Amino acid sequence: MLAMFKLIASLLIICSAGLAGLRAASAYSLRSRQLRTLQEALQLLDTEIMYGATPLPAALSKVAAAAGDAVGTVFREAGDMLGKGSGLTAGEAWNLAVDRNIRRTAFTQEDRAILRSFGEALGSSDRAEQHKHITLTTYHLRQEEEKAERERQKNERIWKYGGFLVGIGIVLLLL
Amino acid sequence: MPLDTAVNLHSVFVYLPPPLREIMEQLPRSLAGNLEEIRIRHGRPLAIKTDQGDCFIDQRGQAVDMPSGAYHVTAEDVWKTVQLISQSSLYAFEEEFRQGFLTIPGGHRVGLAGKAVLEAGALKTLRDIGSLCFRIARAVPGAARHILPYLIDRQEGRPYHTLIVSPPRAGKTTILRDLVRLLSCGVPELRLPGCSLGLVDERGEIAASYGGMPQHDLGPRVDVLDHCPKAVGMLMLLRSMSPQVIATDEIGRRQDVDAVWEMVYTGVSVLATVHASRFEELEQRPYLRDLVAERVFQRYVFLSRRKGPGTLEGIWDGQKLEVRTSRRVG
Repeated sequence: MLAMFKLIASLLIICSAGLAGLRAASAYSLRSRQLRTLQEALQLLDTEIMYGATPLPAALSKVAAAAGDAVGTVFREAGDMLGKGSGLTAGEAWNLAVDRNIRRTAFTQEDRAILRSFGEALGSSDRAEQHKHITLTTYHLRQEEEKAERERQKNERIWKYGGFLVGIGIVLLLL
Repeated sequence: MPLDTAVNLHSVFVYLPPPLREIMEQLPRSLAGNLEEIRIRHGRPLAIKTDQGDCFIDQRGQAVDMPSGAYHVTAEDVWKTVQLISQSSLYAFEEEFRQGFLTIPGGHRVGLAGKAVLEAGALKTLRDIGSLCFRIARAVPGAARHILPYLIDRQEGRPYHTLIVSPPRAGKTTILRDLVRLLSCGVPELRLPGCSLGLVDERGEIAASYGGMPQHDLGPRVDVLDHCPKAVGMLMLLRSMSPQVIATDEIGRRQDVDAVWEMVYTGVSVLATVHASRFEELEQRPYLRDLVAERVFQRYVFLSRRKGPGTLEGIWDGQKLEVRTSRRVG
């Protein structure tokens, strides 16, 4: 009976530690993925601005539908606030949407700073300027993505297996 | 019927940044009811214009005589207003900025002045906007009802080629808009069936289309070509939509006049407006004078502000004979 209890307890410890490790590992790949989604979304916004000359409320909603999940939410909320006639400028609406939703994403403070500086010039110049601005933001995001990718490669495996190993270590110590 | 009817001013005020919106919402009813213009100039007093003239507005929305007591517009007010009227999408309104104004839902026009950016000698756009002027549009259904009987050729059963002649702000666009509506709906009392119209709305003022939908009621038989150059647009509509009447405003350039020439020989009636106060002025305008001399237009409708916007000064036929004595519209 005691042996059975020990076995179950050990399994529980190993599983919990392992799951915690997996979760930490997935955060690394989630950030890479979301940074990629964000770049794709900005490319789409660029197309809407450059070739469609679509006003921002409509353009942001279109991009939101294509991007989906947490990244899409930022675009959708910014577009909604802008379209409502709330008296907010695009920059204000964008930054508010970023601040409200940043916790739901895997973005870091560096990513947030890039997003906020993107908001500063959003919509306030002609097409050529907007294009330059989006290209610059995408460049910064790509750099962050590469950094995130390097970190993922370095840390993902450690966390993935490390969690289980730590669990086994705890079990061995307790036995 | 007076030309000034109630306008939902809230639909205009949502395009003002919060500090200005708050001030304008406190305007006394006597001023708000007759509001024609709102002037926003960087570093200068907030001003409005009503049918009684212009005045400055203070922090509490009250009219003041001295500029020093008025609310002074800040750089942020101007910048934010530009952002709001363009839905924070300046890139989507490049053509409007080049023209110096844009139209907001409700058909109100916002004029812009700032620093001109030139490219190869031509105006590319405006930047560093310093002044804005909101012009409140008022659709007045029925404003042209008195004029219409004189503009119909009963034998041919179609409207005459008509030119509405008026100085600025004398109700020219309002009258044209109502004529378009009346012709499109038809007038049973005059035994006038509705006819299909093509409207070339180069400045987006007549129909005030927003997202492809006219904001003013123009009746069921109107096709609008929005923000299209008049000369190109008239020919386009003629080929694509086979209208019985083509309406447009403010003709005057050579290409506009050429397009009118094209129209009159195709069996389509032309309904247009022009800036002028008197017939003699028309005869002096470089391209228009040919149209006048050749008696292309069969009716001239003269408007003024003598007794308020939309005062009808007279209707003349192509031979300069008066077919209707002066009387105020409505």
